[in-house]
Order: sequence, then structure tokens, then C-alpha cells
Amino acid sequence: MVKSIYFRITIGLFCASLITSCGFSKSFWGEKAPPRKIALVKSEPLPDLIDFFSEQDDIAKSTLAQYEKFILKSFDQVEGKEKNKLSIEELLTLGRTGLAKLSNDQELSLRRIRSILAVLGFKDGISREQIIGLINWAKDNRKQAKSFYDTLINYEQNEFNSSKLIDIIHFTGSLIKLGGTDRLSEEELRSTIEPWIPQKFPHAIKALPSGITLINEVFGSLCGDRIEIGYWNAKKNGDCLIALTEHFSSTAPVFDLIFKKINPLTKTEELNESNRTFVSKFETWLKDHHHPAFKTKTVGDFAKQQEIPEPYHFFQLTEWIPKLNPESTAESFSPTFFITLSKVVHNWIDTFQKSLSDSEKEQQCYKRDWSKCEFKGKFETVDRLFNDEYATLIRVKDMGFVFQITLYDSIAHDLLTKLDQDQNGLLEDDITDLITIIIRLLDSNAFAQNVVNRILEKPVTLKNTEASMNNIKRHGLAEVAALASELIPDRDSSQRTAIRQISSQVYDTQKYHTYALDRLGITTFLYVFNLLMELRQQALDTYDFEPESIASTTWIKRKKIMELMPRMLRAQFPRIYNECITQGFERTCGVIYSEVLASPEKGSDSLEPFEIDTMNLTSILLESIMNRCDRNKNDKISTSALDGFDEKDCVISISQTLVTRLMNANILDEEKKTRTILKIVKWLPPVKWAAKVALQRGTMNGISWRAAPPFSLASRPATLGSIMSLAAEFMDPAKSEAIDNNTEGPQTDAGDELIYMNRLTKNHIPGAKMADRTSAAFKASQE
Amino acid sequence: MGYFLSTVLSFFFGISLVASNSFALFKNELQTQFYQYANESQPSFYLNGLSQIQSQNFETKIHTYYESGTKGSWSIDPDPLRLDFKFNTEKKSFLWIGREHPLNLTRSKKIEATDAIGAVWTQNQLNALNPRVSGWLGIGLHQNLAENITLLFAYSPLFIPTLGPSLGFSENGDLHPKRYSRLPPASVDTGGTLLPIRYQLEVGQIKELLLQNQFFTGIAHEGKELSVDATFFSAPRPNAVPLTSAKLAVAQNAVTAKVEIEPQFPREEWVTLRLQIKNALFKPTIEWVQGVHDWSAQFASLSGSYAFGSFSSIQFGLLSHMGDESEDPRFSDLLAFIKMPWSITDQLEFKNLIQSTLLNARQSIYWLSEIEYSFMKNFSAIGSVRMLAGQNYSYFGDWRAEDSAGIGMRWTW
Repeated sequence: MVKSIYFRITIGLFCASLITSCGFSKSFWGEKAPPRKIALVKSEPLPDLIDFFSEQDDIAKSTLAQYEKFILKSFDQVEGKEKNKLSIEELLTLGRTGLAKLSNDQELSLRRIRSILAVLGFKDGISREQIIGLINWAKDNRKQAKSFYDTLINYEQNEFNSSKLIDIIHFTGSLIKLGGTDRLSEEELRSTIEPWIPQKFPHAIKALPSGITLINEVFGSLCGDRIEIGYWNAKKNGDCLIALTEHFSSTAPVFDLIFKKINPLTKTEELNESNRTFVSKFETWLKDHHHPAFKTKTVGDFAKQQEIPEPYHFFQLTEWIPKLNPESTAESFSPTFFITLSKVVHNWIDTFQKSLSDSEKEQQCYKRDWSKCEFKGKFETVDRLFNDEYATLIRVKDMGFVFQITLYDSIAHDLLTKLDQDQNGLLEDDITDLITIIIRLLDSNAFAQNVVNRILEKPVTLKNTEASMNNIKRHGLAEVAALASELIPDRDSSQRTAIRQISSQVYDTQKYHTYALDRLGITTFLYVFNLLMELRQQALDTYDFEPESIASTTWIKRKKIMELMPRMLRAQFPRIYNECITQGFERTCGVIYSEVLASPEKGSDSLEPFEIDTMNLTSILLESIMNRCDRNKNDKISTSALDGFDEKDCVISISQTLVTRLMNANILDEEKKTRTILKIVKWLPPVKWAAKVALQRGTMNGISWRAAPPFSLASRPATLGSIMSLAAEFMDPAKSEAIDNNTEGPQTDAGDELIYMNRLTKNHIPGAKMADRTSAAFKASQE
Repeated sequence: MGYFLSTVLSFFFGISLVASNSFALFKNELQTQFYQYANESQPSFYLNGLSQIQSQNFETKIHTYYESGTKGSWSIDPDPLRLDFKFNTEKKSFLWIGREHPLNLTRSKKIEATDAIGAVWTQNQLNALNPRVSGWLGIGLHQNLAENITLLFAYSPLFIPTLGPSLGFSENGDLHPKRYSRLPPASVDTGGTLLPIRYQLEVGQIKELLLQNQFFTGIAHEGKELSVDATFFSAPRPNAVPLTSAKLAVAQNAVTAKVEIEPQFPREEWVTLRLQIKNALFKPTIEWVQGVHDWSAQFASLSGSYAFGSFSSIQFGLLSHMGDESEDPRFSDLLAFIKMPWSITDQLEFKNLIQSTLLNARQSIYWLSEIEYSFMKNFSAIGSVRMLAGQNYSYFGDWRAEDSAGIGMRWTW
């Protein structure tokens, strides 16, 4: 019995074994053999390559050591035909099998392998010694590589300065040198770079051939006969970059000051020393090395390949370069132009340093940004240009402001030196072109922006400043600019006397067709352009203009500009704002600014944001009139029977010229009647007396008996508001009359309706409170 | 093929002729079969021979094996091959020279491949489905110390590793494997790229390989109820540890992984304990083998047998390794086996053998079912089926395409 139980147990075990086997066999007869095992290569984990850039030396060294071991071990495990060497064909075979993979696309991977070999100069393949050489190079240049990496990572944090730039260039040169002495033609260089450009940037790929030509041109101009011009010789190009950094390292403090990375108060000696040798550094670099001129056509070809608008402005700019640098032509740009630029920089820094007072240097301003430190030094041009009546939100007389003005002054000085044929300190015939240059410099910036956008496959904006200002005659704009440059700076009486002789010519548009700009005038011109851009940006950042983007252009409604105009005036031009409020906002500011603000194209009610500039320019000019003519700074324009050219004479004289110029520039609509009246006012004393009365009244209406002497001889003082009221009447009598009668008037453009029926005052004036004026003159008048 | 077959047969019959006239015991068995494999079109011819020759001081068993075909192999393996020199007839102590496993002299049950001790001992696996534990070539001592206690000692200056089906390495790295050989990886994955592997075998100095000392010592106690054997031995590892060095050979258009294999046989030391409880049910034998060279190397086995009715001797057991892991499948992957010979009649016998590895992810099974009919006194007809199944990379699973059915004859004299 017992045995039978155990027998059953045995049979049970037997059956259990059979049943178990059913669980893991698909069939009991003729099953396929299992696949052969695949051996897995387990490599030892490697540290993160980023550790190579670690702050801690031992971690960095350890990382490099581990990679060195891995790379050499991997190389030793590959056997080619020749011991310790792999030929290019063998490397490509490794690429084809996927063992050396630089892309998921096999063909691209192979091209990248060829590219790396070409860049590193391994034309015959790669040997163990060469790999060891590369590793040793990495060891020797670890610190520079770390600096390079840190700079790239921390670029956003504004840690970049000249010494870091020098490190980067030096490191780049050292890296490029690894390529050896073989030279690559442009086509070979193109085939080296192209595999690394992602396919999602087709324009970058397309522009590569001309881009390489451009690079070679740049290197050629930069390095001269230090390199093989027209070819990429890695060692020579690398040596040139290294030599460049060593030669220009002493200029680092100057560049740091330009980019505000150094404090001029604490680093005076360094800066002075650097600036002292600044020009000579450029001269000695360019001397005796036959630096070829840079062909500007290269830029055009580059642009054409990227399908962006031809930078005609750039070319016409280069027409001007020969005047500034005789060794350049319209087609080619001589590197000696950099000597010219270096002189501008040298004078700039020199002037700036000298303007800082000794007490300022001792003061040790502790602000993190030295440009925000109060300026306690002395620089006449700054005193003349700075006007504390307006734009005080974005402009204070700090060291940053002085730094900017000294730059413009240096540029102006250089332009005068180069272009003033008769050495009388004035630029006369070529003002128009000068102004065009400035505008086109802005266009060049837009062009550069377009290049970047195209490469990054972003929409290209076709707008450029001049094309958009095609309604404004170049000639007329020049006139306005010339007048502004004469008007805006606060010239003292002696200067005015000297200038007036010439200014009278400037003011007389009938008689004289040429203009004159002195050094201060050119400086002012540059300053005003910059100020207009900053005022515009401040407005765009502060107020919601409800912009619309249509076809890569931003548009804002003209009506919205008119609605926001009171706020803009209140913030940046408080005197004008207060005067308009006092005199009647719509009747003064409403009419004037609706006139100067451009009209949209037919069928549209939108303008581009830069149109705000004309409003600001008008405001600046109005303030400048007050600045010039209000001699005792009491905010009143008075008459003096004893003064042949009293304050009101000044206003009349300047205003008529201003209005005429604005009409010539198409900023104001042509009004024949206005032109006629202005001519009459100028030449007929009785009419002039009437004009003086009108100035105070703010209108020409109802002054008939008051115009007659002796009443007119002693007219009461005018204010800016009354002047503006009169100006408005001249600009658009119909509008003015409608406002006076409290009726609807002409509405040519969108937003014009706001000036009637007190709509601006009711809906868009920010409270009835006057704007705060912070100018010294105003505060003094209040005491 | 003909050459090998004739060699085997000549040797077999030659020995028979010589031995038949000289020895007290002379038994022969010759089994021939034709096997048809499931995935092959032509059958294979098998020949298994066993000659047992024994006299007063001499004993040998000559195992012959032959399989036809390109996948076939052959061997002539005398094991044991022993000449005894008795110096104490009463105490049954003797010195032996030749080839023997020392523990086989202590009792009638031989060390099997399914035993823990057998698992770490050198084996003959040319007949892969029927592996045998091999003896050492050398000298030994079987010294009775007391009534039931025997001192055992053996020394061999010659190391013969475990013999198995050849992989057939050629000079250019190709393989021509025999049946039941375990193929090495065909390709290598280097970070997603598969490359074919070419092997190169570097055996090194044969002399250095073979001339390695092996030592064995132990105490055996044979009681009425219990038998205990405790031993220690030191020998090179019977299965090679392949020392590989790999290189990528880059030719004009192809890359292959060139793997140089240098088989190594590192020395191992083992302590073993074997315990058989004779009067217990199934007469279990428990074995424990502990590595001294590596304390994580441990083997254990449990086996038993019993007879019931027409089942003359049912054997079953378990064998397992503990502790150390191996990437390759092993016979000791929690092996469970049962052998059931069933004499249905005096002439008809039905035998079944099931061996199954039960380790997780390495489960496999080998089932041999054989029926033998003795139609004459010394002749019997045999029909058998061999089925193998299992998971990938399991012991029997690697051979799961080698299911076969065969017919043949057995001749004993």
C-alpha cells in the first residue's frame, strides 16, 4: 500500500514534469533552434563631458583622464591595415557600419566624418600619435576652453568683457590651428562646414558659398599677408587670431569702457594707458602686411543668396567711405578705415576722461552701473545739449549721457576734419548726404537684422527707414535736421553772434540753398536722432498702442496715437503739456500734432510706430524755440522796444523758418497762404508788429486796431501756449476755426475727430492736474 | 565518416578479442541506431559501445561512441582504467594506478553527472545527452583505516578538461559545430550596431594546459545505516573560462569583430560532503559541495531511488548550484530528473528519462522515451524518441531543434 502511494507520487512527479515542460515549449517536435546570442559590449560609464569645464581642477583632470583612457582604448581595439593608424577609407567604413555615427542619416554622418578630418588636417587618416596630440592639446588648453565655455553659458548674464573676448579669440585660434598646414579652397571649406548646418536652415545652407567668400574676405582684410588670402590655411589663420589677441590685448580697457564693463573712475590709469596706444595698435597691425581691401560686392552676393532686399543703402554708404578714408573706393573697403575709427574712439575716450572732474574721480561713485553716476565734471557740449525741460524720464545729466555725447562729438570732429574743405569749421554742401548716411546707417542695422532673420528662417522685414519715409523729401528732411542742429543746442551769445551771420543764411530758405553744420551741430544731429529713437521706444514700452502685426510689419492706429498724445506729452514734455492745457489743448497741441502726424496710406488708418518721431521732433523744436528765445527763462516771450531783436522777434524769425522747412520736408501740408503770410511777416514791420500781438493773443483774429502802433509796440508777453495757438492757426486755419466755434471741423485722417468738441480733454487728458516740471529754471522761478 | 567508424569498430572488436581470452569478466554491449532528426532530411547513424573488462587487479570500461554526419563526433573513452596493487588484503587497502574517480571505489554507486560532486568534476560530454563523470589519470590510495573508515587519496599530473561537442574553429574564424555544441554569440552589439564575430582560438602551450597537478583526499565511512564521505580536492576548472580579447577588424568595406579566445582553466578547490541514509525511504543521497577558491560557489544535490513492482529502479533527484550566477545555461540550473525503467514483460522494457531545468528564465526539458524488445537472448530491438524543449538560452532549450526518433538494435555478449 505504502509503496503504491509512492508509486503514484512518482507517476505524479513524472506527469508534473511533462506538464511543466508544456509551459515553455511551443511544440514537442521540430521546434526552431533559438537565435544565437548577441554579445553586448558593456562600456564603462564615462563622466559627463561637461565636467571637463568644472571649477574644480581635480574633477576636470579626472574627467579628461577617463576620456583619454576610453578614446585610446577604443582606438587600440580597432585594427586597420596599418598598425596604430586608420585610413580615411577605414574611418568611412566605420561610419557606414554605424560604429562612428555623427548623424542618424548615414550619408550626412560620412560627410561629417570627412569634414572633421579635413578641419583637423588629417588628410591621410588618423594615427594614435595624432589622437594623443589632440588630447594633449585639450590638456594644455583646458583653462582657455573653460573660459570659452563659461563665457558662452553666462553670456546672458552680462559677464562678457574684453578679456573674455580675447580668451575666446585666442582659444579659437588655437583650436583652428589643429587643422594643420594644409590649405582648403573655398569649395573644400564649404564641404567641410555644410554637413554641420541642420537641414531646417535651408537659407543658411544656400548662403554658405558666399558666406565663406565673405569669411575669407574678412580674414584677408583682417590678417593681410599673415595668411594665405583666398584660402583657408588652418595654422596660419589660427596664428593670425592668436597674434591679433596678443597685439590688441592692451586695448581691452578701452573696449571694456565702450561696452561699459569697466569703471572709468576707478580704472583711470589703465584706461589712459590703453587709450594712449590705441591708435598706434591699429596702425602697427595694418602696417607692412598688405591688408587687401574688403570687396563690398561680397556682402551683396551674400544678401542675394539669402533672398533678402539688396542692401543698396550699404552700397551708397560705401560711396561715402572714400571721402572719409581715401584708401577705400566705392567697391572696396580698405582696412585702414579702422585706423580712422580708432582715432574717433581715441578722441572719444580722451574727451570723456578729461571731462571727468578730479573731484568726481575722488568721489568714488558706488553705483553698480557707473553710467548712472551724477556728472560733476565739465564738458561744454553736454551743457549745451542737455535740456532739463523735457525727456527727463529717459535723459539725465549723468556720466552715461556724457559718454554718449562725447562719442557724437568725436564723430563730428572726425567728419569735419575729413570733409571740411575750406577748414572753416563748417560742413556746408554735403549736409544732405551726411543726413542720408545717418539714415542709411540705421538701414544697415536693419539689413544686418534681416541677415540674421533669414539665417534663422524667421520672417524678413523689408522695411527700412528711408523707404518708409518716402513721403518726406530728402532735401526737406535735411533742412529740418540742419535747423534742429542749429536750434537745439544752447549756444551762448558769442557763438550766436558768430553763427547768426551764417544762421541768417540758414534761415533764409529763399536766398540760400546750402546749409552749414558746425561740430556742435553735427553732434546735435546725432544726438537728436538717438533721442527720437529713445523717446519712441519709451512710449511704445509704456503705453498700449494696440499694435497689429500684418505681414511682418507692426502697425498702430493713428487714432490711438492721437488718444495717447496727451499722456506722452505730459510724461516727456511737461511744459508743452501745461501750456496746451492752459491755452486749450485741442486748439494748440491738438491741431499742431494732428498736422505733423503723418497721414496713413489710402484705405488704411494705421501708421508705423516710427511716425511718433515727427511728433517728438516737433516738441523738441518747440522747446528749443523757447530755450533760444526766452532769454530770462521766465516762460514768457516778451517785447522790448529797445531791442531790435527781442524775444518775440526771435520767435517770429525762427517759427517762420521752422514752418517753411517742415512744409519743404512734407511734414506739414503745403499751404500757399501760409507761405505768403510768412514772407510778408518777415519783410513788413507793421505786419511784424501785428504778429507780435498775435503771438500773445494766440490768434490773428481781432487784432486789427491792436496791430497799429503804438499799441503794437508794447504788446504783452506771449507764452508757449499762445505761440502754439498762433502756429496752429497758420498750420490749419479751418481746424482752428472749428475748434474756436466748438463745431466739427475737417477730418482728413483718423484721429482728427478727437480735436473737436473737446473730445481729447474729456476723454484722454489724464486728470486736470498739471504736469510736474522739474527743470532748474522752473524751480528757480517758483521761489 | 567511414574512417572514424572503422576505427571505432576495430578498436572495439580488437579489445574484445584480446580481453575475452585473458580476463575473468568480460562484458560487451553494442548499440546501433538510426536517428531521424526533426529538422534534417537524412537520418544519422549512432553507435554506442561498452566493453567491461575486469580481473582481480584490473578493471576497465571502454566507452565508445560514434555519430555519423558532419555534425557527428566520436570517442573511445576507457573509464575507469585501473590497475590495483593490494597491499593489505584483509583491510582491503590498495594502491591504484590508471584512471578512476576515487569516490567510485567506496561504494557501488558511481558519481553521476546529476550529483553535486559530478557537477564540479571533469566529464565526458561528447554524448551530450548522456554525460559521464570522468576519472583522473594518475595514482590513488584506498586505505582502510578502521572497520568502516577509508582514507582516500588521488593524484594526477595530467589534466583532461571536460570533453564536449566541438565548435570546429577554422583558421579564418568560421565555426563548424558538432551537434549539441553550444555556439558562442554570432554577433556583437556595439551601441546599436551589430557586427559579425570571427573567432580565433588561442590554445596556448598544450603542454602547459595538460601538465597540471590535481590532488584529492577524503575520508569515507560506510555504515549499515549511513554512509558519509568528506573530501577535499584541488584541480583546474573542468570547463574552460574563455578569456576573450576583441578587436574591430576594419577592411575595405566591412567591419567584423575579431574575438580571440584563450581558454583558461583556473584552479579550484572544493570541499565536499556526501551523505547517504540507507535505511530511509528512497535511500536518499545528499551531497554538498562548497568552493574554497570562491565561497559563493556551492552545489547541492539530492537523489533517491526505489523499486516498485515492475519498475526495477526508479531514480530521481535534484541538482542545483547556489550563490554564483552564470550568464551561460548550466546543467545544474535547478535540475530535476526522474528515470523510470519499466519492465512490462520479461522481454519488453519501457524506459523514460526526464531531465528538466527549472531555474527562472532557464526552464527546459529533455525527455527520452525508449522501448526495447528482446527478441533473442543477446539481441534486442530499440525504438526511442528524444524530445528537447525550453526557453531561449536554457540548457536543453539550446538544443530544442534536435528532436529525434530512432530505431536500432542492441547486442550484448
